[in-house]
Amino acid sequence: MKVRQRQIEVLLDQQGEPASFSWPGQREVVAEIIDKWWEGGRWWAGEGEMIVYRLLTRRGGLYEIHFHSGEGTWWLDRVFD
Amino acid sequence: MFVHLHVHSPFSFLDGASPLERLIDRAAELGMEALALTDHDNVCGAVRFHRLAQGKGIKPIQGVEITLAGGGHLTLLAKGPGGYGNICRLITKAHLDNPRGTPQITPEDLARHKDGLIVLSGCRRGPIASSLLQGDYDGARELAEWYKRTWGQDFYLELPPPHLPGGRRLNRLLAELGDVLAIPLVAAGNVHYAEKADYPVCDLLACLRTGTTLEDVHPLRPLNGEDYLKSSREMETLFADYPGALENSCKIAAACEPALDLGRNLFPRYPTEEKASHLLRRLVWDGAHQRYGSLSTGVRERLEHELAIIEQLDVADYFLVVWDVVRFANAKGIRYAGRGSAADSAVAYCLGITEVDAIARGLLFERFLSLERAQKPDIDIDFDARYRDLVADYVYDKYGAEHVASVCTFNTFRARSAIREVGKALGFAPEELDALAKRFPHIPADAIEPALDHFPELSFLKGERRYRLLWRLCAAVAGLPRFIGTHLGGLVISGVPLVEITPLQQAAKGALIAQFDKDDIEDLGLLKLDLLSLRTLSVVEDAVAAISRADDDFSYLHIPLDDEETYQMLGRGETIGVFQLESPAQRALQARLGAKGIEDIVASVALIRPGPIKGDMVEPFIARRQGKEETEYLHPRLEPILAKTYGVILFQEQVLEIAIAVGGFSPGEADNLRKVLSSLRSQRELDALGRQFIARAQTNGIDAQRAEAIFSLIAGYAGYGFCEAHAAAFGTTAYKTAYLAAHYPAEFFAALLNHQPMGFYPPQTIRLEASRRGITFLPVDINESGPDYLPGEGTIRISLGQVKDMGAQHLEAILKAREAGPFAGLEDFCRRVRLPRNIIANLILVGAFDGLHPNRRALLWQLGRGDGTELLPPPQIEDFSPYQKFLYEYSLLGLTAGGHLIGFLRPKLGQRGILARAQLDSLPDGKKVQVAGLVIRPHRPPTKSGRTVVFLTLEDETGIIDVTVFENVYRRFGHLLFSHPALIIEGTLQKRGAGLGIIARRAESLPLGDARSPAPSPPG
Repeated sequence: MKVRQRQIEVLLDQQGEPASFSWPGQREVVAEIIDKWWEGGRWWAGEGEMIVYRLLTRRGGLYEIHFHSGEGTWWLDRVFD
Repeated sequence: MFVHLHVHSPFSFLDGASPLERLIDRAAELGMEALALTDHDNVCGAVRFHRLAQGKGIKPIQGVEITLAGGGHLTLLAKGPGGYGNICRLITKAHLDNPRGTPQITPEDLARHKDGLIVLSGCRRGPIASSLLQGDYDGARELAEWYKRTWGQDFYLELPPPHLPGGRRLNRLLAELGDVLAIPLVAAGNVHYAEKADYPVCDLLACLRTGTTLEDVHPLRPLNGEDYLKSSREMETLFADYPGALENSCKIAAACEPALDLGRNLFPRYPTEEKASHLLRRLVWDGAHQRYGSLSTGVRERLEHELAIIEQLDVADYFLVVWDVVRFANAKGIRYAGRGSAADSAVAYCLGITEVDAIARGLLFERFLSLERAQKPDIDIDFDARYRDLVADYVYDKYGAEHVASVCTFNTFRARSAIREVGKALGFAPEELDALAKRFPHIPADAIEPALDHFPELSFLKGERRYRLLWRLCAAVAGLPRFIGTHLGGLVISGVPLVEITPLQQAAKGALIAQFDKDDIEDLGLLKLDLLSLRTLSVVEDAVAAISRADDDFSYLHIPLDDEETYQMLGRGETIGVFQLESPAQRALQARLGAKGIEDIVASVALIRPGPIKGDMVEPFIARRQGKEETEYLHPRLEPILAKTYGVILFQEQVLEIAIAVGGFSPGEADNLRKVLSSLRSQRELDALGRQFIARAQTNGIDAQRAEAIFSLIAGYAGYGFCEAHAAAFGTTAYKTAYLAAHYPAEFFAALLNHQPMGFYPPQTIRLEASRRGITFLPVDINESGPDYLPGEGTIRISLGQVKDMGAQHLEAILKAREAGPFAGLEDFCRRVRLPRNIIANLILVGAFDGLHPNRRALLWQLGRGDGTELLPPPQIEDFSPYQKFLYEYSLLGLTAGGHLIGFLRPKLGQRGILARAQLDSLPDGKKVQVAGLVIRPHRPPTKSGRTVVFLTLEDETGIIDVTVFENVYRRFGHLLFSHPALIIEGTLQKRGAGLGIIARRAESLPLGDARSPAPSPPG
């Protein structure tokens, strides 16, 4: 497993769930949402809530990304080898 | 639609984050038709939940989230009263079969008490869910099969909300299991708070519970803010794949009925062959003959009236239970006194429960019990503090452990506790939090931020940004219960086994407590009896015993209520040590009032209370009592009611009497009116009640304008009124302790010192007062002192028991060794008594060996050089200075036989023109003076103007001085008043009646280590 913290672009499907995500040089299409959960963040320091997705991509990769509700940004957290 | 069946209130201590009221209000806003309450291992919120939910048209479903052996959770719901009874039994077993604070239940116990329950498999910590999360499908299946065998169609697999890692997969596996085993599913919210915005409070509470800070990671902290009371629509979205699970929540709710039946009479039947009401009558008439001799028509009619109400309300057993308890106390020679509104009852007087003659005082029985209010009687009795538990044990033995328990209380967050605990979670250092907390008065946790503006000694905190989150979070937890505790005196006695009504658990001191507080106990129909400890009764008992040793004829019961010397003493404001009358406000009142009879004392007890003070009753009362002001009545019908209090409404009973005389109310209706007036929440309600009163007054022949004025009078007062019966009960004890202080000061003050801590003043102040009355205090003496303070002819010997670190076993060793003869010296003592060295050192330092060798420092050296029993002779070295000796005695005894800290500073103070208390008597009113002293009990009581006024007492070597600090001075010097042990006050002398005080203009700290070199720390 590799831990990465990089901002990504995410396209959502009609249910508002991630359909694909990309960063410069790479694009992945979501085959299945394995898991989804919420994390409250460091609310005492003003951090907002995060929605975390564990995704299986069409190319067989397993990724963990999250949506940071306070900033409205998406981030890649983990890549599972 | 959907029904929440897994909900935590704040009675899931440090877990549920929204008050019950908010949870239910939110459920009502969302249109929920039913709601379950499932707190951790208790049903503490059940009664309030039942009332609040029904009030909003929501069906209350009682339940619990119970902890299983191994730590898993299971959700149990009661289908009705039978199921609720089994929940109570299971919770009781969980608590009593395990160490305190670690309740858990075995599968065997669950199966034994399974009837009437619907069981849900629990949240992620349920045994089935946690097996699945750990990959143990077979284990989960086996458990599910067992639950299905045990509960059949009343067992459901609970689908937790899928907002945690692995949540979706878990629900898929649960659904699969349900399919395979034909077990229905139910969706649940695992609710911990009303709205998403409450999540931070829930997370904070988890930190308090786990002892972590916000920056720490802990598995028991909630990962996100999704555990709020979601709407049906939100739940439908969340469980879109399991529509049957949502429907089943409604099906379950429909299968449950409200489990509590409030307002029943579950009183125990007093064990007697004859009918309870007959026995009661017999006892009352016997008692009446003893109290009154021959019975007048008035007495007979009054007793018949009370007995009829008692019989109609079917509460004769209650009176017999209480009569039996005081009969036991009497038989054992345990001093007691009935208090509160029970003193409105002539029946209680004839049974010997109270000592107030309600008939002679014209007290209305309906203030205590009436058909209209139909409430349960509630009698409180004070006992000699030493023997209160003996009386409680008698109750347990008589009615059986299954039927008796202590009532509980809920300890809630207040300002100081919130600052300490929340501050710890925020990562502040404990020392900083302790210092911060102590600065605040005893206010609610959500009054902290307003207090920063209101109290000048706190204003410096306003600008401190780093405390802002702390204040906000303290406000958020304000009023939430932190843990369950034991009510000080309340016992519940039940006619049915208590576990059918309430779970029981162990309290810290080993007693069993019910899981309901005094209000909920009454709602459940249970009998509550308050057996309270009152140290004043212990003081009285000891003083009377000492007096009786010298005077066979002395009788406390027959102390005359018209003793001139006692009233003169009270009129001088010399009331330190006197029950109820010793506070500075009371002393000032007594000095101005010049009490002449017991009614003045009864009125005094009621007068110095927030209500009369804020209602501006005190000054008119004093002025009229002294004939300086005319007493006028709004209507002639008020005169017979208010004449004894000079036209001022002091007592709740007077409100009743006015409603009867003016509005034509029956006594029961009048008491209802009083109760409603005291709990009004809006002007609208008050206006409606006013219109009703005025209309009735008019039909009773009173004009509208006068009726309106009278209504304003009682409406303004009713919320604060004091019960006259209670005032009378306390007033009698107050007067009698004053009599003892006046006539037997050595016996009285010795007894008072033997039962510290109690009362308003520290031991040194009591010693000063006794000395001022001519009592000589004899120092601790190793050969003369006993375990307690010992009164003699005009003397009090300080006790060995007073010495710091002296335990009961050490004292016993000294006294036993002394039986063989007095100690000849330190070496002889060390040979005959085995004591820790520090205690011997303390004895030396307080002068216990002065009679054998005058040099304390030399004795300490001698002790330090010896090997325990073989000591070298004491050397020739300089002893401690008188100031050092004084400091050691004060620190190791809490008082001294003579001298005063301020006395040592007097030469320097005198150079500055600072006067002693004794020098103020000869000065005129209005003189500008400077005084200095140790600060005693600074406090900020409510005032009629609403402005802040601080009252404090300064103590010097000649007496005490009461100081008043008005707001303008308080704003400048308030930061000194509550945190400095000694002050210099500059102000104006004020003489009112026989009393004397200072109105402060300036304050300055008085450093205590200034005058002499500081005392060294005790050796060892």
